[in-house]
Amino acid sequence: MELLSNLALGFDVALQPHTFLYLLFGVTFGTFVGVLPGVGPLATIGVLLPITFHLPPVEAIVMLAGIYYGAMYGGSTTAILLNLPGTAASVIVALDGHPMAKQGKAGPALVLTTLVSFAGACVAILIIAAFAPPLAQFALRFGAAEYTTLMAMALLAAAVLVQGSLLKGMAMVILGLLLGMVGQDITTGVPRYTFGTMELWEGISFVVVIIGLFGLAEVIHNLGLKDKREAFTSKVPWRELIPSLTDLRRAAFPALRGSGVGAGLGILPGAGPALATFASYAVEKRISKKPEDFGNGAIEGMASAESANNSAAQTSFIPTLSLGVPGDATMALMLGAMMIHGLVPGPAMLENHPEFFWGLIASFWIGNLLLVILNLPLIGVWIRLLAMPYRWLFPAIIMFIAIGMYSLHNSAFDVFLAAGFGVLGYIFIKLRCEAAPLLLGLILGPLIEENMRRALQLSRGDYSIFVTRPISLTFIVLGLALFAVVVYPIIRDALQGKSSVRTAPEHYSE
Amino acid sequence: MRLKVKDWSDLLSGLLFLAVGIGAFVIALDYAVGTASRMGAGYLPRALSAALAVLGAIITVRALTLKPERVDTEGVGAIAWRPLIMIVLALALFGWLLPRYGMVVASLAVVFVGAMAGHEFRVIPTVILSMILTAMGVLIFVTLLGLPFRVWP
Repeated sequence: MELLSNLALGFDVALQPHTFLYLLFGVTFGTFVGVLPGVGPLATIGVLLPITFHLPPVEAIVMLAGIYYGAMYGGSTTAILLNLPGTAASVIVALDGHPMAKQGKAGPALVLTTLVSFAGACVAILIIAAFAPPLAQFALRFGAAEYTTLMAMALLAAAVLVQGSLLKGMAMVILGLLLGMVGQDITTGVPRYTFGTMELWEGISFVVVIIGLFGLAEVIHNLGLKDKREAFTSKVPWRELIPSLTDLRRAAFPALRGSGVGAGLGILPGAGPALATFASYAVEKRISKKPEDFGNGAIEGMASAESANNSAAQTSFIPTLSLGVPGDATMALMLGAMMIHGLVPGPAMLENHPEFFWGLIASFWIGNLLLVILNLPLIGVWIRLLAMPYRWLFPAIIMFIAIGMYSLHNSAFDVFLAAGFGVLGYIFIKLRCEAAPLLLGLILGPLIEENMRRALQLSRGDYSIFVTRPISLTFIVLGLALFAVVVYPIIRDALQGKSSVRTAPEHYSE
Repeated sequence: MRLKVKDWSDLLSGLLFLAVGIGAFVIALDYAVGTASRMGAGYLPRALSAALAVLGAIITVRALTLKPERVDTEGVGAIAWRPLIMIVLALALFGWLLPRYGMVVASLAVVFVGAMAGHEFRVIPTVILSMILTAMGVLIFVTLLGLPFRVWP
């Protein structure tokens, strides 16, 4: 069966000693980053990206991906122990995980999350292996018009599914698109928004934007919060780590359900692990016979959330790899990273570089397995790590950022630019504007423009090409449907005279 | 006249979007628009910046439209001036120092000044920290990864 031979190829690539080592480093470092509050996987990948320029492509992407889902594991650890979610998705895990810890069941909670995450990953990987190739095949029929509408809908989804205000989300997307237009327009050769600076002719590097908006802004924001971190003092002896059979049995089906929900939602552009986690928790609570337990240490809730989290993290690679369209900010970064290394995701990649695609998929599975093996003994280490004072950590982060930015083009300009985006990012945090839609706009902007140009050129200026071609029309319809679903409650409330305020919740690092 | 603001974060971001949108539109007027079939450099910038300005206007207006229950008295919250300034300063220093005096000086500076952004800053531990981190930085980036940075002044 072709699936098996593909997977065999993948494992062959992923198990090469070099690749394996980078994978190991990636997942370990990712967990470390995930455990530490205030440092997000997105910014970490951004900082490490310049370093990976000197690595071969497969190793680089495998490592970066490892950091990503490793951080998912790590984030849950902090969420459970300290009620300090590292990412938006870990908020849900904390809801039931932390009460469990307070009930003295920290050990089982941590072990369960690890096992359940692994289950989620397994399900997700099977889905990727099954669906990504056919999806890529389907994408071969895409023309410029389809890509335009697909990307536009992805951006709409990102704006609409954002945590806070819908209008702000849309504005951020447009701002990102405009930022993407800085630099020399490839087709016409006209320099746009360069303000006379030579360095801007190449455009604004998305790495710089990520570091600024998600890294520096985060640090500045954290330093402004003066809260004392609640230390987790009780030790977790080895014996108590093992969950009881009852616990395992209670976690099993929720974990499976969570994996499914996560895998399904992770594929959709705009939806990410956070949305998948919320949705899966909500579903689990609905069908539970004791919903009042949720929020007080219900294993089912935590298991479902965590497996959805990890599952979605894996399947969010699908649109990026098969279609070349990223689903969220982190995927946009991975897409950029791949392109920098000369790997253009999309149907062509599966044809010409199957070893990369399947190697990456295989590395997901191996990586998750490594996480299970590593994390169980390392739980004690992570706990002790959480005691590290932030004041040692953040200067190191700043230094790494400074060096990393300089190394992009051996130029101080990028360092200054990153600082500027740091300020901007802080402003966004204060004004409760989500930065992720902006990032997606930045990365997709040039691509959308190029495709739109080509589509309109082919149709000789006729806009109806976007609705007369069936696939393109489908994307538009789906996008509008999503928009309607989200907007309807708001309009309904407004007409009834109630103000429905979609307030952005607490700020979480990406 | 006191502005009754429903949500300061909305008001300010709305104004920001409006300003950027208008600014970007004015700049884009310099670029040729072209036609639909041959989109010029200014085609999308004009459309997008106009849309941004419109959204900004809508957000601003909504922020000022008072609903009986809510007047935003919180504002945007305290601004972390010290971290903001110190971190920008640290990075600016780094960018300026590295090409002129090498990586060691620049790293020491960026860690030291950066650390000043924290409110638990103490001089001696920070000096030690900057020396350790600088050593690590040189080791990782120059020795291990071979980046072409000038190390010493």
